[in-house]
Amino acid sequence: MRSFTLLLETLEYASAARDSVNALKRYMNQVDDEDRIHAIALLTGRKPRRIIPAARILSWSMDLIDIPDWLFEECSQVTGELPEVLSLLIPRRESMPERRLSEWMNMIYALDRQSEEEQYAWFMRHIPEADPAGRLFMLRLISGRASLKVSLPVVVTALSELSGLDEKILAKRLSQEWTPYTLTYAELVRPEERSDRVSLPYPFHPVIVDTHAFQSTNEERWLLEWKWDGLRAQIVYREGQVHIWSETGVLLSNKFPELTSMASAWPEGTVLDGEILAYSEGIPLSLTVLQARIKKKYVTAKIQAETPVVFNAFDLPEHKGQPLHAHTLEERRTLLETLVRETAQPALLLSTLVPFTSAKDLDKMLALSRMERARGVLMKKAGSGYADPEAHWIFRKAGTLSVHAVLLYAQKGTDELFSHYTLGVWNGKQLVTVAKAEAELGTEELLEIDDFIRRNTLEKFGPVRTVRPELVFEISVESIHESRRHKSGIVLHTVRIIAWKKDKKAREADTLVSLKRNIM
Amino acid sequence: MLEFTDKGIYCSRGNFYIDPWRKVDYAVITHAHSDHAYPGSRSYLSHEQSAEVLRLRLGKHIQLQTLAYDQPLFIGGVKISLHPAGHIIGSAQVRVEYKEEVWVVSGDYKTEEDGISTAFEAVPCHAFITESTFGLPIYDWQPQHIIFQQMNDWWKANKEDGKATFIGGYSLGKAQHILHNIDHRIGPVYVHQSIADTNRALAADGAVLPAYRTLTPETSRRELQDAFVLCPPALFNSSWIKNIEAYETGYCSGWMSLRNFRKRMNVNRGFVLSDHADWKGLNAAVRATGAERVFVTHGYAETLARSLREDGLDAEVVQTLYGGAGDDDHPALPGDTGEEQL
Repeated sequence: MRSFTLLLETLEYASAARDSVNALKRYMNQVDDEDRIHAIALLTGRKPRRIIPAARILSWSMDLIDIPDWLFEECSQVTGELPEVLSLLIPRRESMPERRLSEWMNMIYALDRQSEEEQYAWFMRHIPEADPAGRLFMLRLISGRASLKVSLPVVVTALSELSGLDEKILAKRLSQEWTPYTLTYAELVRPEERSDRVSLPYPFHPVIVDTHAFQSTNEERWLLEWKWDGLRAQIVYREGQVHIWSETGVLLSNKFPELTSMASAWPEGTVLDGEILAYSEGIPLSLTVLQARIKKKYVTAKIQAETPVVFNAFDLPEHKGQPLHAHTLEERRTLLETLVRETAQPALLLSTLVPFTSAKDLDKMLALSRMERARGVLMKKAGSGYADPEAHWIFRKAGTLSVHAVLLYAQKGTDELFSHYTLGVWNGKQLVTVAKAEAELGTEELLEIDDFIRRNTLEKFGPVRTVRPELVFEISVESIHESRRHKSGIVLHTVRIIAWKKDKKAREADTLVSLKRNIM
Repeated sequence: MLEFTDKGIYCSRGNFYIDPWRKVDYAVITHAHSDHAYPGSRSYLSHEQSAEVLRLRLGKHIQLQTLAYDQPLFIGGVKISLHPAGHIIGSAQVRVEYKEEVWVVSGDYKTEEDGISTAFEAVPCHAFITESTFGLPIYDWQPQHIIFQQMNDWWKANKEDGKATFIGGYSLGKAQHILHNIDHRIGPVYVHQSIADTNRALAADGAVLPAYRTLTPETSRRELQDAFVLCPPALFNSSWIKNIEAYETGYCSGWMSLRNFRKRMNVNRGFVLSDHADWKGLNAAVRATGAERVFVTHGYAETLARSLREDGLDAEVVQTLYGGAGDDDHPALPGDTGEEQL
């Protein structure tokens, strides 16, 4: 189990996905198949339900911990959650044999069927056997507090590199209903079968972000399309089965039952590429709304009613069982239009295409983006094939918003100058924090601001200084979204601090009300 | 026999101070960390293995007298001797005896043998002045061979992934502790310039350290690919390290047993390795002295004192300025919480 808790620690503090993949592969190479399938189950969110309530865990632990109550209280104040303080205080039983993860998990799953007395006996006997990290893991697990999930692509990539199987096939197998007791590791990585292929999407046609001015050439005809704030996906309908794939290789079929049942009415052998959008009364909602729905474990009728979704189709990689790689975008588009018209499903929309005649068309669309609630414009070559890597689609982002905000807190950057600012806007007579970023200013200005900060520090919290709220900055913001996690009720995406507005007074900064008007 | 004054722990009969934080005439130093050895006093007394490192930190020309462990010195009729504290190389407990009454000032100490500092010895006394940096029962160290096994495994794994391994540790103490115990067969071991300076001073006083290479501005980043690099944690935020293609960072401290400290350090790995005694170590050390009176200083002083009182000892808290910056097991470095500081 020590190797598993080490894996958890590594995953928690890994700075790059590649590091997580390597750590997982290293772990998998150290353990047997039984441990492997248990680890994958835990890392993909398959864990036992809460078995023992926290209050009972506390009272049982106190039978092991021999210290006065006041001392326990002092310890609790220093540590975080309850399982942590217990894991550190329960006396260690020295030189116990190291148990494998699967042994522990077998015991924990068995606990669920045991009487309270049996559970107590198990707890007293086995919890002290593990090291503090192992204990913390188990106490969290049995009290239902563990959150061990890592991103699915990390698990899929590691398994694919270990087994040589296609990532999509693994993603599909992992997203089915299984437990470590119904699926073995060998079954999970069994060789590819025909039925695996049936579910697979096409490699997503690549999109690149371009910020340069558009150079038009006469040889190519371009088509323009809104890029909504949705989730790109392919819906695959073959042999009576529907699979919905995200661009990152996550299978989303069970998150969107309404789209799954919709696709069952399509002709055999249909694959659509498009965007899933949260959509209400003809208006596309923000991606954050959609993501909140995806996070829910069960998609109830209530959730479907609260956050309705549509599929905005823009391409057709496969039609009636025939791959359309070689067809041009215009040819695919004609077939797609017919399909959407004939099926006439309210949740299946067809993207709006605008022919490109001059750079003015693009500018006009970009200018309209914000009003249309689009994130920008996609440019596609009319004559390009779906699998043509040279003919990537170009995403041009909508213009940014400009906001004036007041410097509230500052922190030093790597060069010892105060260059990381937290900024706020007015909410009535109070300033409320809305953005944090590194200032993109010249050294001279930074030095001047640094000097101001040092002379106008109101309080220090570790490396952070509270600054007298006087300086106003212009920030550029890509979009503004509602957020329950932020005190201001909003979150700003892609914030850049671009100018110090020396001529502006703090009271001239923007207000929360004006920012909220721009929520997507 | 000893008093707690605003300059430090004072013996009026011998007119000397132990670890004073103000300039005094005669300062007895337990060890060379900056919260125990302040500059500016007229003359100093320390263990012989602390001499060069004290000169390095306080100035070449300090007036310094040294003693071996257990070698007595009489000042004004007071018998002073130094005894191993096991905290760092050359760290000492100060035993003070007058007319059969014995007081011991522990300075900082740890009870587990680290292989490089002379092992802690319990010194029987009537009054014992103890630190309490880790004076809560949640601090319960695993044996260091387990921690070093973890550190070796981590280094090996980084090496396999083609990554340099950087471990942050204070230049005096943790650096030598790790340098001595890490498995040098895995790959080259580098130390930061500030650690090399300290090592040289320690070696001049007879410390035996394994061979290592010194990190210089000329060291190519490629050389470090499979290396283990000991450096001050401040290096983790430098632009220098950010230019290295692939590396992992780790940090060793008793505080790494707490998740909130662990998170704040923002490193890839935390190792629970300390040069201070844990709760069991503190309690065992206090009892082994047989002292009737215990004075508890820097750390969780109130807690340890109360717990000792409940066990029937005469224990009280005394205010000192120890436990500030200068030692990575003190909380000042990983983001001070305030409550542990006196």
